[in-house]
Amino acid sequence: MGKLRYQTRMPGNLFLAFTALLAFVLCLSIGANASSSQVVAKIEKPAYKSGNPITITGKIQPGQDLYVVVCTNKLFRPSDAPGSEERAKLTKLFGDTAIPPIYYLVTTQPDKFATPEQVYKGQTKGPFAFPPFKFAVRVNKIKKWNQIPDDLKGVLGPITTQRQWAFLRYTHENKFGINTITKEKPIGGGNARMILTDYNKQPEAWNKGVHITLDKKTGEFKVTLTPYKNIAPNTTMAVYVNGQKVGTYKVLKAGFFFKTANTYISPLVVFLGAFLIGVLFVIMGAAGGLFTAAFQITVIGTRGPIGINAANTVKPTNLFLTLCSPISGLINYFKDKRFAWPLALFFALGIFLGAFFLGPTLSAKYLPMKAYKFYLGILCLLIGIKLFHESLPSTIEKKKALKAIVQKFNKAIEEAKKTGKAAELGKVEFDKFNLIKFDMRFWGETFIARPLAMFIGGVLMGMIAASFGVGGGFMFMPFMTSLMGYPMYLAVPIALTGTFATSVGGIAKYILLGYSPDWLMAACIAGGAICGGMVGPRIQKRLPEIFLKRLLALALIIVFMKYTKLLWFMR
Amino acid sequence: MMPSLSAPITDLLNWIWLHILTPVALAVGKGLEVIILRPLSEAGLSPFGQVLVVGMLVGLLSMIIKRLLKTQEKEEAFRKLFEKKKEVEEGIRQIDDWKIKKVLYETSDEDIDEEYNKFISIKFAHFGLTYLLPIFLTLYWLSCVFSPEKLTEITGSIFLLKLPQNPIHLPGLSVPLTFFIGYFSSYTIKKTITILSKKLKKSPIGDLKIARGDTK
Repeated sequence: MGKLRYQTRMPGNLFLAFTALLAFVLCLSIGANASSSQVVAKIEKPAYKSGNPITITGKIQPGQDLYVVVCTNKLFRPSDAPGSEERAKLTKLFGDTAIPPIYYLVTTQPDKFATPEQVYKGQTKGPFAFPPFKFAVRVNKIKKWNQIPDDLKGVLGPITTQRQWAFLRYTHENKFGINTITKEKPIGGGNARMILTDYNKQPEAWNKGVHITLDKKTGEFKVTLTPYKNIAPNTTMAVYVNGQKVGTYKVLKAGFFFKTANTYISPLVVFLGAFLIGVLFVIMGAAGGLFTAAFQITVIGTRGPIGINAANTVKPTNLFLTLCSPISGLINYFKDKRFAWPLALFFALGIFLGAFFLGPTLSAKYLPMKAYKFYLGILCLLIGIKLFHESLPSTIEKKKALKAIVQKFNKAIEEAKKTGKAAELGKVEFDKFNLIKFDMRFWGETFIARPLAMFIGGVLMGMIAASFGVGGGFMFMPFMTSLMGYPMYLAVPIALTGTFATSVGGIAKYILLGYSPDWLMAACIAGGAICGGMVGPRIQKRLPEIFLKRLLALALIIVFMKYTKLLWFMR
Repeated sequence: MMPSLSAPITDLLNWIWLHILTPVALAVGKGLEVIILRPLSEAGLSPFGQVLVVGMLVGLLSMIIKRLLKTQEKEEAFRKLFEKKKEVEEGIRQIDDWKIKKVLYETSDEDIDEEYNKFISIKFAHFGLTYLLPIFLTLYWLSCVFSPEKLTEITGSIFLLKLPQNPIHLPGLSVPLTFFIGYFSSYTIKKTITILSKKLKKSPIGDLKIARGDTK
């Protein structure tokens, strides 16, 4: 009662002033909520074809700035990653933090969230951390959580915590994060797109195709942007305007979608590309595995499922395809008793162990797409040089002489088989086995067998080959003929055993680690390569071999330049 | 390729794939589900058992394709042809006139190279048709039928069979792993049967049967 009495005793003008102040405070508190309740927005269509521009129109409170978030509706947690190595790495870094794998913030105030600046990308550490492998590129450097004004932390859609923002930065600025989660190709070798604004206001590469019109007087706006072109069909995308969720839209397929490879491409294009590789492989007799890997990365654009680094999809697919050549050849060599088993056994065992225990595990951990592409580029350069060397007249003559020796040996085997001596000659004989070194008689010749050296070499080469998802024939032959000093007829069957061991060991381990090839893509590549392999020899006679070898060498050197980002326009 | 040029080609290829090949593939996939998976499921086999049996059937298919393509016979025929051509080449070596010898030898060498390349490509094609394509296409079909979402519904995980804690840290048997177990089992069974039948033929009972003309 006393209170009431006091109020009634208040002077009239003071009471009015108090009421006005209360009303003003109330208005401010509502307004501080970024006027979310006053947002009216519409997504132009309920569904968009993947890779097509989307348009959002609407009205926000007059005088306000615009913050539109376009992201996947479903969030991704590190524990969702299907790849074991990725799951372990991401969980260690970000725990159970959930973020949308695809996330764009289109705003009239981009400088509040990111700053365009020049940074060093490419090989920033390691033995190749020098120009031109390390290069400067302009990126939209995303600000840290504590650098963002507090009043804007409510306009980021599903992102509300520092941990989520840090995870998002990682998936847009770190190559492992990009190739494992975001999947969108970085602009000019820099970062993946995230903070965007109108291209006319900020004419930077990452803003291309982004248009914003905002009438601050009325609050009417229109935003157009083209999200990532390889979003899986039927993905639900959410749209937030100034912090308020205004709706969702569905992503429609844009052609055929390879689910595991995570890319839209016609399987017939894959088939035709593999056909060309098949033709080249049969004509050249080399670099099939490397070309298939480069084809998967560059032409098909294999990205891998969300939560698996792109390289860990390319490698198992490639290993399955490298399994093609050795099996049938191996069986024949085995039947012909052409195996110097003390060597083949140790070599294959070493390779299998390297390919199973070391290669895939180390590769999945330390050879993500960025490093994989770089070192694949270096391998391409080496094989390109080798091919060019092979196209020189002196090498061709030498090869013919070698071929003659091998043919002579093959003839001897046939003779021996006819006379029933094959079993006797094919028998491996030695007086005393020694792990380091011992004399071995095989097909009438005496060789020095070094089982331990073969085993150690096998472990190393098996590890490298399985890491890159290639057969490894290009390493095995020089190792045995140059380093170990074995003749071709002894080395070829052992090298085939090695290729077989790499494929089997690598495939087994990749499957156990949870990495699987895109089976349909593998079928298309195998089908194309088979047809190309059949056509190749038929047209080979009409094609100049030296010219083709040099052309292929040039192609490999171009791949090297592209993958090592040697030239600015290739980044 | 310029985008303006590649777009119509891509559209055409997409059209061929979506309107001609996809309906055929879908029909085949559905048909296989009805013919193979449904009876297995009705017989009480779990998805693990179904994939295992499919793996074995594909192994059998590879064996049949190999027999149909007559790979071994063709290899034998090539060997004979190769030997013949080599004999001709040896004959050329005996010619005294070096000019004629050189021309003939080069022609013969090119001819042998061509034959060899043809043989290698056919061998590669046979290998692909026998093993790779059946394996890849079946695994693609199985990955569609037993998608991770469907497996999670049926088994509660993305695996066909969850394994208890083990030294190799294998959490479970996936579709490809189970398929390959089935595929290689079929070859192991075939090899065992071949060895057993050979042993049987060598044994006194086998000899007796052969003597009677009762080899079947």
